[in-house]
Amino acid sequence: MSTSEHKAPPSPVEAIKSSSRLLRGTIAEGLRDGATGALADDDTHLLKFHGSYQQDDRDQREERRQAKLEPAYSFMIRTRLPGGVCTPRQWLALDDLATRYANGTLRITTRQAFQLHGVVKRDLKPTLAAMNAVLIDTIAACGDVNRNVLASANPDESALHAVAYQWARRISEQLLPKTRAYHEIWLDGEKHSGGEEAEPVYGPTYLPRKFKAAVVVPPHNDVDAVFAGISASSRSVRCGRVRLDGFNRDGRRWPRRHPW
Amino acid sequence: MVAAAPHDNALPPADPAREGTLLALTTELTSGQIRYLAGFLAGIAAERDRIDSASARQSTPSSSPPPAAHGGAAARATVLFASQTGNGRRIAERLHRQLESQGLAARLVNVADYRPRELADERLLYLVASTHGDGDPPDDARGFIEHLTGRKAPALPRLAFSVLALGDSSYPKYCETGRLLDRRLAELGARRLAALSEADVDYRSVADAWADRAVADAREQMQAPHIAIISAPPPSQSATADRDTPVEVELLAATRITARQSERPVVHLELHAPAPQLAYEPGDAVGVWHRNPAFIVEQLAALVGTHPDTPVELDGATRTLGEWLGEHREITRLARPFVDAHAVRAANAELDRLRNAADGAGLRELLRDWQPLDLLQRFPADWSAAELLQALRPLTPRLYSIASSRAAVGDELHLTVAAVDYLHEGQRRVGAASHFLTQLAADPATRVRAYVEPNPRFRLPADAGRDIIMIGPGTGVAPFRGFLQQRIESGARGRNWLLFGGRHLHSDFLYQAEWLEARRKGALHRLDVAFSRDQQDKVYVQHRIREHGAELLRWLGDGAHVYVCGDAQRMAQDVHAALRDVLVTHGGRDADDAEAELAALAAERRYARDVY
Repeated sequence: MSTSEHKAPPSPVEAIKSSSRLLRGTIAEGLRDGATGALADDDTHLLKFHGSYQQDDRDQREERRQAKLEPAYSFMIRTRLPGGVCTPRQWLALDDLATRYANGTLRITTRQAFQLHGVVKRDLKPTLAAMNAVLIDTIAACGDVNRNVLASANPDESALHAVAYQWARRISEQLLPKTRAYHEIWLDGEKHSGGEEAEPVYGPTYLPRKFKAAVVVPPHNDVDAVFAGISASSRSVRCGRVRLDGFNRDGRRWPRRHPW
Repeated sequence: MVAAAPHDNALPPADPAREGTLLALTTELTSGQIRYLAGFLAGIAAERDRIDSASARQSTPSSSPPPAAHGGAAARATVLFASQTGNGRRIAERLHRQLESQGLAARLVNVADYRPRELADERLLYLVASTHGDGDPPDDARGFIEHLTGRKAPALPRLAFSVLALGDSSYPKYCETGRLLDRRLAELGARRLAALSEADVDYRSVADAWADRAVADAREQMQAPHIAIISAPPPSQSATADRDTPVEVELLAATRITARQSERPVVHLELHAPAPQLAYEPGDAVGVWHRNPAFIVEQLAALVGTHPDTPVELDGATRTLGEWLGEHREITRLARPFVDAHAVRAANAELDRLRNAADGAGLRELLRDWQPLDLLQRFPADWSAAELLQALRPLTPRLYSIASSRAAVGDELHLTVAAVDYLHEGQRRVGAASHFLTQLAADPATRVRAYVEPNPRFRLPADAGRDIIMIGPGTGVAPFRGFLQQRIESGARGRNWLLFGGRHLHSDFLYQAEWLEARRKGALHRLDVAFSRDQQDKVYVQHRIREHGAELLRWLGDGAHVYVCGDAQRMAQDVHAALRDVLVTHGGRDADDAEAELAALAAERRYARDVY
């Protein structure tokens, strides 16, 4: 083994991840603590893997500090929605959650996901449960894992779109963390200690940073595969049959203008 | 007698337990009272020497203290007080001093420390009993009243007594406790020396007359004085400020501590608190003399057709009407005598109907929700300025639980004030004192006339190793801020558990950042909260008490002290019921046993309430 492979000590966040019992930490206890609208500091790092960020309203910070109140904490929730495909029923459910628990907005992100803002801690669980009821989850929507997988957006542009979407789904499912933490914490799933589970793809510290994948159908690079960690492109129309015939492993080699 | 000689010195140094007891007894006394006691004890010693030498001559053994009074004439008067805010205690102390100065043997006893079975041996009893809220007895008096009204109450044919009832005529059940005790003592065969005296919040003149009469009666009832004060103690020229001699202090800071989204403005105030004038212990209250809101004064003046600058002479004093109303009269609280006086002038059928409703609901609503101005506007009547001033009660100071510990804040005194500000039939109404205090920040030159009202019934455990459970929703949390500061500064080893309640976590969690910080540092061991409006079903502190009943019972089993502060009408009763339920559900007691156990805890001062 060469000295260059000598491992640096884990970063503070890696230490939190590896001691988190596969992303559990003390999130469940933190949700039960009615005295604060925040989670424990360590848990805020883990929460990202569950698709949520803890935030606070900067405009109120000073005022609330003087009032001896903690900052005005709330949470952003981001969906996992491979290829950005959402059914009418799911849309209606998200629309309802936006007004019931969030600040009335529903944002569409550049990664084909939806974001709710301004959800307070006690509403996190009901929100995620309501999403789950229409088969939407937020697993790995943020955090150091494979994020929402993109696919070309417009089915009318290409007959290959459906294939690209299927691949986006497959990639997304394949790279999901295997921990049951999400189901336990948010969906009252059966409790696991975390000991008998494993993360064969990621390992206990997951990735050092986020990872992005996209599937595009040339000639349109509408989801900007250039910026993905891995991208898949498809080409070839043969005898009226459309098939995907290749992957471009390194997005940076993708020319700015498609070569075909 | 020779045998007494070893005891002639101070307490034997080898008996620290007894010395501790004595010290504990003195902690609640002012230095004036201690000096007074020194003289009093010297008097007892002299009296005992006299008896001892007499009995030595008769060769009768006399190793025990003088026996309790028996026989015809009263050997000693007992001045008993049942006090909630301290006014009753003060009056009783004064009467006791007067009796002593006349050479009349008397003892002063808090009804909480009084064994009801002693009653049968009493010959002369003076009782000062206050009523708080709507007809509630002071917490200390509950056991005494239960005994007196129960089937085991003794016949009292040899007792002579007189009762002074303190009350607040802004409640329908005025002076209820005093009335009840007066009636009951008579029923048990005791003889009234004087008809029941009833004193309103401006109790001074009634109390003085009652005490003068009491001293005169005592002189008749008692034989030669038994105990004289040996060396007259220095007059209680105490350096501390009190109700009648408040100290003017500066406001150091005022901050709103509910979020802007809250419907309930609560303000945290920091006053300069020079020692010794404003010396205090955590648990004490601060009395504040406020100035009434100018806009109410102006409206009242207009209603009697006069300008606030008009001078008015009353009881030999001449002040402008504005001064009278602003600083000398109660103009935001309605009292029954005023309602009655106004009803006579107004001769309004609707008002009479309200006032005389059979169940008292109309009157209760009037006294609770209306201010004098509301009454004057709704049911017009002719009042001259002088007549109105005559009919309104004198201004009384307001009491607030102190929210700090000197150990943490030095010469400061913090308080937590909820601003009362609402519309009554479209017109702005405010709570006079909270308005005064919360407006202070706007005018930094304003000074506050304040004094400390000791609350010896609401103290941290003397043993710092004891756990404490603090139940304080809303501004009831104020004294617990002082408690926790004190426990942290003194390095107390006992655990601290706070239960807080409010409407919304986001906006109404008073001192949230401080509690969280204390919890993070391990100084606050448990923090349970109930925010009533953050979910469909309303949740209050009593729900949390039941929820964590098993744990609470474990703390109690370990000797924890329980404190409750805040609203007396609903919260304190709901919390009491929840505590009883915990003893039943988790402790296997039946309801009566649970109630008796809470009463026993209260008697031990392990269950203390500061409710209003």
